[in-house]
Amino acid sequence: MLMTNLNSLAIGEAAVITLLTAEVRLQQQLCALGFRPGRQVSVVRKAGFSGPLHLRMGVTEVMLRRREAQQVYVVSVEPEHDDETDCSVGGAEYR
Amino acid sequence: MKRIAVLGAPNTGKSTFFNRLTGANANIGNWPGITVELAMAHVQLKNEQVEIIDLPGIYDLQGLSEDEAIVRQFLSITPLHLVLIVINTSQIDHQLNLVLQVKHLHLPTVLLLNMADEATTFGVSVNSQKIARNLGIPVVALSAKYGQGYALAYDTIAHALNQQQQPVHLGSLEERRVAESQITEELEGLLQETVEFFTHPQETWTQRLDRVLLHPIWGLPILFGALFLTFQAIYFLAAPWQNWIEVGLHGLKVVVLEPLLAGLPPFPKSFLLEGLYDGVGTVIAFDPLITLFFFGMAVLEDSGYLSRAAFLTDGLMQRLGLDGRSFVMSMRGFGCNLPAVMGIRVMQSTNLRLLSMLILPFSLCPGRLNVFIFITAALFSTTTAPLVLVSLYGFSLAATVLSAFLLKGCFPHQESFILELPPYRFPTFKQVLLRAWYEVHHFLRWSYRFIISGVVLIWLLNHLPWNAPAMSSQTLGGMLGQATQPFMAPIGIDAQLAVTLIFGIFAKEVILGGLTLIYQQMSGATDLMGAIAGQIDWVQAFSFMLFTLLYLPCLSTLALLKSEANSIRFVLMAMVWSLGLAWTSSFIFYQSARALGF
Repeated sequence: MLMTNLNSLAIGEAAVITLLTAEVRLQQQLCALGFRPGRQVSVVRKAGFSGPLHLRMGVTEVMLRRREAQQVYVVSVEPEHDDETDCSVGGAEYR
Repeated sequence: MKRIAVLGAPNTGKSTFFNRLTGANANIGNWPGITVELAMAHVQLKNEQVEIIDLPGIYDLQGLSEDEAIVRQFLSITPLHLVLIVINTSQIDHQLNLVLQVKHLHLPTVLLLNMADEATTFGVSVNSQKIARNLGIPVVALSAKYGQGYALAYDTIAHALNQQQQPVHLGSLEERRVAESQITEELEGLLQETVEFFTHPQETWTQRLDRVLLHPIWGLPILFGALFLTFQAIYFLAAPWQNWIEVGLHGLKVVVLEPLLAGLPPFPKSFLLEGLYDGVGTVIAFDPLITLFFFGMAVLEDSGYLSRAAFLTDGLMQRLGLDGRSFVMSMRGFGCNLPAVMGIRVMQSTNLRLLSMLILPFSLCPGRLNVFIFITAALFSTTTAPLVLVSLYGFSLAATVLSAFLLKGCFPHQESFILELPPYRFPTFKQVLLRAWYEVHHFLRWSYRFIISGVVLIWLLNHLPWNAPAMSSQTLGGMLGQATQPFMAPIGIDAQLAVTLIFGIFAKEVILGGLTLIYQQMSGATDLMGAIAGQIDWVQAFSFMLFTLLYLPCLSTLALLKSEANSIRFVLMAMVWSLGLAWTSSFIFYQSARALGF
């Protein structure tokens, strides 16, 4: 399974969170809003002018800047994005 | 007296619940050992007197933000009989986190599952009895906004309070802290047992609305259009009130006050009537406008649209070293700079706060607008006057953008910005009214001190020394005006106008009072607008308005900047920057207009 970061997902794509690499403060903010490994998140839209992402987790909707989204690692749940490249980041488990 | 604290995340309707429970009788005040002001109320709950405190909204008891530290500090030093945790039922999957953290503190707790009605529509079904059994605390589902389930919540709280005779004093939270991993494990188990999520095949109306309002191309134009219409509606609705107040105050003066004070010697009589009464009256006339503005903002905020405004503008604001919240605050600044400056407390990075504080005062507030409306009406035709006003809004925006762009290098920061986008909700009239009232109340308390000192000082400067003719160049005010001429003559502002600008530092509204006082007396005419038009031409007038727009924030805002930044140096820097920008803009405009032969 290819691990990628949240920022590289396309609009409408859904993925499961595997790893948060943000610094402590941001990590806590993310956790408080429900970003945890194992949770499914989808990209609803991206704002113009390189603005933030609009994300949905269950019924919670959140805006997250692209820079911060790069610190949230996910695996896509869409099969067509499952190309065979080996992922060296590894180690994170995906249920 | 027993004591209850209300705890919960932002956007859970925690304050709505607090207002319902306390009958909206809360006071904002200091709490011993806590650095920010908290809302608290004393109420009769069944047969007991209780003190209820509304804590800042937090997601996480272990978090690093200022609010989270405040809540921890409060919980550790305050003996409590009961903690009420309010959560948004649809977000129970992550908000139970906070509940579990509090559970491990072993405080007597009641859990309130708020917005239970909304959760059903979102396909979240919660078994509150199972949660109660599992956590060993009373749990009630309710809608604090519409009142369903409230009676049961009230009885449950009263009962729980009755059981608790002695307060619990935690002392230190650290000892009772439980590892994050254990909380997560408990959370997963609890969710599995008590909550069911149904996937919803069809779109909610929030999603449908967002598709239009957050449209990649139309989103921003819709935002600006909506704001423009809101502002227009506010001015349209406030105008008659302003007129009635002016007429009423004038009537009171002629019918009651003048006969009453007829026996006084001329000096104190003139001081009380023309100085204090007229001066404060000019300002009171603007209160409906400001009240309506707060009201409009509260509607936008409670509907959920302001979070969307932050989403839409964040990309642009990021380029200016700011973020979407700064945009929302600047918008509030168009109503009044004070609450805008107060609002930036939510930002964590000091540099981001400082940069926001530097640009917020350039927002064209109603105090300035009224001066502009008055001058444009006196010096421009009815067709050009609105264009002149629009151009001043443009300059306000340009000054904001330019300052942020030029100064962002001095205030580097790495602030992350995550914001919940809550579903759109219909604001209830009562909620909006309450919220607007709090802000109006705060505004009046803060600003009137300065406005009253301002009008009193204007009058004194224009009437002292005793033997000089009032308003003449031999008064202190006249001499002050003359002294400014080396700086002000190159931008077309004469001695009289310069004096009003000095007074305008107290509050921009005072400029209007100053213009009235000076030009009326100078020309002896009753036609004030005609008197002004006879003294200055349109190039001077526009230069004056440009300078008024940018030169300095009012004294209330300066005092607030000082207390928020906690640095007199920063305030001085802000003053130098805005004065420099104002003078340069006016200079360029005035000299080029003259060079072009106007």
